[in-house]
Amino acid sequence: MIRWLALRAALFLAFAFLLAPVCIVIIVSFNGGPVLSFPPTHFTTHWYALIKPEFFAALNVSLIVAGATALLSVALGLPAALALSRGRFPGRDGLNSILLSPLVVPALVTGVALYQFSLTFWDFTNLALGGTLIGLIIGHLTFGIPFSVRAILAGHARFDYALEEAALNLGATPLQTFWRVTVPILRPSIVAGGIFAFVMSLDDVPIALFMGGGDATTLPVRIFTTVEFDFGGEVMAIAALIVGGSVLLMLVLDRLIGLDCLFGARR
Amino acid sequence: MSEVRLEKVEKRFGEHVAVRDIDLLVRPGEFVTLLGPSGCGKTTCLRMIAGFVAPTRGRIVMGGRDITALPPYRRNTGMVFQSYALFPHRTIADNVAFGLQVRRLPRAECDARIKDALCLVHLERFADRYPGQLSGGQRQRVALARAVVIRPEVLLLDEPLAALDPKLREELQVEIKRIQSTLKITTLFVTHDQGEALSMSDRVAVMHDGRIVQIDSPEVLYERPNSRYVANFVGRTNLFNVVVREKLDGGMVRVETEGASKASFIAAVTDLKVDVGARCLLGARPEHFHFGGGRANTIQAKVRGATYLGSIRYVDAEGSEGQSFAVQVRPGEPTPSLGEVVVISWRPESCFLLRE
Amino acid sequence: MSTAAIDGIAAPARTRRGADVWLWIVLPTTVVFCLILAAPIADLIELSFHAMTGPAQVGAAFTLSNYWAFITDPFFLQMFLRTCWLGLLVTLGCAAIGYPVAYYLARTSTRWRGMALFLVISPLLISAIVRNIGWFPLLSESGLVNWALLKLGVIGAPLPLINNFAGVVIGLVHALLPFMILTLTAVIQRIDVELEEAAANLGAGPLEAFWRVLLPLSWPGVLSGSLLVFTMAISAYTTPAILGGNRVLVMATYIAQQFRTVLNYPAGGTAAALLLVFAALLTLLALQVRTSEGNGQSEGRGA
Repeated sequence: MIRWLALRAALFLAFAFLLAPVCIVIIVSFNGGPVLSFPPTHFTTHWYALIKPEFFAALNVSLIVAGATALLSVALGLPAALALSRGRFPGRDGLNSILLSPLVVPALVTGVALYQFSLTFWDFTNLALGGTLIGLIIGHLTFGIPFSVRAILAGHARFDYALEEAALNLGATPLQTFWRVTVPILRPSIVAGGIFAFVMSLDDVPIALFMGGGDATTLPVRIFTTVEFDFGGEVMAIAALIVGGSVLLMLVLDRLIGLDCLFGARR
Repeated sequence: MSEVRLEKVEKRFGEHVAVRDIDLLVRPGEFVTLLGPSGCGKTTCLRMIAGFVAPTRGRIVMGGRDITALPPYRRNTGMVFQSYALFPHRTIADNVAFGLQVRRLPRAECDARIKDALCLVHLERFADRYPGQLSGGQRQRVALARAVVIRPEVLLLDEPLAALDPKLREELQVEIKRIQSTLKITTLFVTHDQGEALSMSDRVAVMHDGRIVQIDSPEVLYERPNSRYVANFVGRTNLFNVVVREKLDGGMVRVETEGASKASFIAAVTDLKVDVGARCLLGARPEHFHFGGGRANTIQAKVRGATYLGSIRYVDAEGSEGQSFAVQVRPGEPTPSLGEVVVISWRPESCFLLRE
Repeated sequence: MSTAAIDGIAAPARTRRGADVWLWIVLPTTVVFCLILAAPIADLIELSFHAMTGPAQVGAAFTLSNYWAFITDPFFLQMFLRTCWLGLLVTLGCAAIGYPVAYYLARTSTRWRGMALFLVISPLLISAIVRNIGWFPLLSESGLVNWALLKLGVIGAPLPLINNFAGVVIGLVHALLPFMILTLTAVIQRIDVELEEAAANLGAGPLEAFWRVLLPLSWPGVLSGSLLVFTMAISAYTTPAILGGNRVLVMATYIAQQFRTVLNYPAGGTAAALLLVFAALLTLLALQVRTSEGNGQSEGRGA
């Protein structure tokens, strides 16, 4: 009995710990007094009104970069995933390892490496990669591609090759079979890969910090640099809005796909 | 409706030879079954005709054309897979439509043909459902409809009924046969179930270890197997050793058991060329053995046991030289008791000789 | 996943030609990936072999002075140890908090399980920046935690819990807890419940059963989960930067500092290369532990 209570208490504390920062953000964003203090003194929404327009511009940049990253990750990831699961070619195991690399390379190291590389690139070609949307997208592809590949590989694990044979037998060329049969059947994992890439791109700080700049600043980086210098109430309001947006996104995803499917939690 | 020929076809997978030197002719409109246990090469032959496996040696000719080098999507064969392979993301109608869409047939003709195909398999009402909503038997029929709607030159069926329960299997065997004879499509069917093979086919090719051991009509295959393997694989057979003693008129020989009893029988010889003094096997089906005398061949045996299978009852008996006999008991006939010594008799035309 | 299973039934690979087709298909992705990751990292490593000649200037000569400084200067050694210490504390915190939660998730079958699992994952779906910002009203001197502790009389003066090492530890534990929980859940699920029941039947209380049965059996999983969390903790940048208030100098924040403000690119590059190697070694170690765990488990079960 005591053991049961102890476990319950531990669980409650653990879940409270997990949710605390998110909940507090929303509560405090309405605080009329100093935003870093608790308890809130009085209720106000004026922080929301004080949000500067550059944050919305940054949100725009984030969305564009995330969308492009997702699309490119999937487009480049799909052939690689198919090759890894079906092909037997020299270097296959090596490629498999390379594509696991995001776990190995810290995001910060990728960020500074790309920054350094963009300087070298500038030296040689006079083309700027840093501070451009393209640079940001390239930076985010470093984790977007591997995660798409892994998502599609996971979805491909139980692929029924008889379906492709049936299509070939019915007269479809390999290319037609690919578009009419293979892709539709893999669609859930392709979409999952795209969503992972999208969400990770929206969230990234280290890479976007070093590859972005000026007009090409993503929302997390804009918030990051703001918080470094001045922690005003409007930052809390922005954070609360992001929480709201994320919850909305989660509800939408759950409706469309079912979040438990996405995370493989269903046994 | 074309003929299909495998000419000296061989298939190796590395060291393993799956198909050895096969010559097979399936005539236009004929229903031929490849029968054999797992690993005998029957599915490999089918897949070579479909184009999913390339033969190591030999040619495949269909309707006069050498198709050996053609990719599967240019061969115009219709295949029904063991797992049906219905596209889960398409409705039943769209599944059946697939081959027609790829051939760029005009919409009106597509719709007409799809309707006919679904009517043929009695699934018109299911056109807008998805494969996941259908039962196993229904999915099988959709797979069949999809394969025939493209009007292939040859229909290939890869153990299509293996996943179904016996009752459903019987129904679908009749269905498939009906559709095949209506459409008169050249058909090659693969199965390990001999009952299926015998009931549906014009000819059956029994395969063993990559070779065709015997190919004949079901009756000939059953009544005159050419080897111990075929005799045992298709139905039950009584087999025991004998020696040829005398050649008689009318294609008969007199044979004798080797032991002390020197029991003598007359047997029909078909293709087997035997010399006097040669050892071979005498074979007879249990249903051709009778209790009591009255026929030319007789032998004494002691009853050792009985097996009841509902519609059939077998009695196991042992001969004086240790041979085992299985006798099928007629309905209404009394069953001899355990330990009883009985006389078993059969007609010469009902038994056959096999090489040892 | 075995290729043997695939080869038997895959679409006709016309032997040599079949393999070549795949090489062409995989080429664009490989090229792109090499350009965007392999080349920059190679460039970074190359950078570490040059000296700084001025802010954002790099000398042309090849030198090992950066690495030498790293080995000899106590400043760097301290920083490295601080990084490892951070990783260790975070890992212990995650393990301590995560194990009970993982046990619950692994053993329960109520309908709350799905909800609980979702709650565990949900912090990952909210942006990291937001989570870090949320710690300020909680941990600041006038924040919730201090307010509660003062109210309860546990402390006399507010504790400094943010803009310092402690804040970074708390923030990282929070960020990496879901990973630890998910790993441990899978591990515990693989341990047959009947083993715990047998222990109880033989007289072991809950703590003893944990110590003698559950922990030894789940140890390889705990180890590989811990290695994962440790690697992520030492690689983290955003959380130490924000919650450390630019005062906590671990390898990640040092690297960023070199590239952003100090402009000593070679020093930053050296530290980055060393961090990369360290993270790679840890990941390899984690993989080793995981494969040996897989072998061990399959022998242990099925009497």
